[in-house]
Amino acid sequence: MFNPQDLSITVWAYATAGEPHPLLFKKFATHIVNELGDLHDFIPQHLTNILWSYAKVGEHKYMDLFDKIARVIVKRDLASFELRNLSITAWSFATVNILHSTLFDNISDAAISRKCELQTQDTTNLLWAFASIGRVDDDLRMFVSLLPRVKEVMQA
Amino acid sequence: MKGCETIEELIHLASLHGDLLSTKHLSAFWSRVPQLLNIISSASGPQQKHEQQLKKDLHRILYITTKKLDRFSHTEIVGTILGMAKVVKHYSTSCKNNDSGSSKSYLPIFQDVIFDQSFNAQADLFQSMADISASTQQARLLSNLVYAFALIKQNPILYDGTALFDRVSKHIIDDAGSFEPQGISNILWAYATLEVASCPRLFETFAELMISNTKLLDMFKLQHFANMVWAFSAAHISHTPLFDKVAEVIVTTVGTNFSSPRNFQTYS
Repeated sequence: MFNPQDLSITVWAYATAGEPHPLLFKKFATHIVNELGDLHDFIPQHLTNILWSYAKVGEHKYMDLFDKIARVIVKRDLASFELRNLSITAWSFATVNILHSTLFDNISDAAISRKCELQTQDTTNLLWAFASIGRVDDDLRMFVSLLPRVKEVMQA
Repeated sequence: MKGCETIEELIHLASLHGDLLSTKHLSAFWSRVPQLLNIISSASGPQQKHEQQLKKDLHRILYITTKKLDRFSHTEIVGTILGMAKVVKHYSTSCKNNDSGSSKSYLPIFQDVIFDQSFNAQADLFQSMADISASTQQARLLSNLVYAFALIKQNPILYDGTALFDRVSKHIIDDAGSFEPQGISNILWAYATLEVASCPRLFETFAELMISNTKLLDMFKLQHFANMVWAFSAAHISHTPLFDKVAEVIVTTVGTNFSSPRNFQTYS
């Protein structure tokens, strides 16, 4: 059985080093999807690291992996997620062009309710992700809500 | 010291002996503290009336420790540094995570003794211990030494003007073949964590060693692999042959019990 931290650190390291070892990523994805249950031992940082790493290497669309992690995240209280984790989650799904409507809705709600905490990078990632994945029309309220923050970002 | 089951008991026992504490006992004391912090199960900490006395006793134990520093063996001094560093790390992490664990009730005892209000290790204390320990050449002690200083994010400048990590890197590189997986991953993690400029040669040495010695890689646990590849990435040192080799080993082991090393049952 893999320790969630070791697993997430390992894929993060390979993705960061630009070493997209296909067999390693495939094995880990299969293991997470088929053998690790509801991932209750995975904290938000682990889940985000995994999503970011798979999006970063981007050689193959791991639909099952992203779908499983999306289902895990929407069942959780997003208050326990830092906005940075949520923005990277949205960025990762958008990068691999996988739309999970409930996940994006929940992230949108969290971003709106905690907009004062949003950092520049998080705001940029969120807006890019929602625009890129085509959630602009459905979710204009997030864009409208974050407009003041966008203005600050642009002025910066 | 090993028989003590609470922080109060440990501090009380050590303070009872005062100046009679040997360097071996002092090292054992500081090694035992972080172990006890990690296993505190009671939600109640020290009573307020005892808190001041405990802090006073801890101050005294620290005073005796510093007074006897030049008599510590390398094993004892490294054990002491590692114990203190783990206490600093314990509280800096639990504070960062806003952890309300029961060890928090002991925070006032340690704060301003071995770390400040911002959880920075007391620089003077660790500086003097670094000076004494830097000449050690034993593999296990070297890995524990750099690991401890990386935990507190310090790379002290020694009395001769060299930085600790630069000084010991020569011994580590010369003796690279004698380290076990835990030591290797701790060393690489430490050098990457502190972003030490002299580290590329050290990383290259270990990479070549691991590629050429398959038996060594067979002894690695996934945690060692994770920390090792993290270190290479964090240090911006690319080494495709090593990453490929590590991936091969991991892939063949996915789905098996990776919590144990392969072909080396007694390693812990």
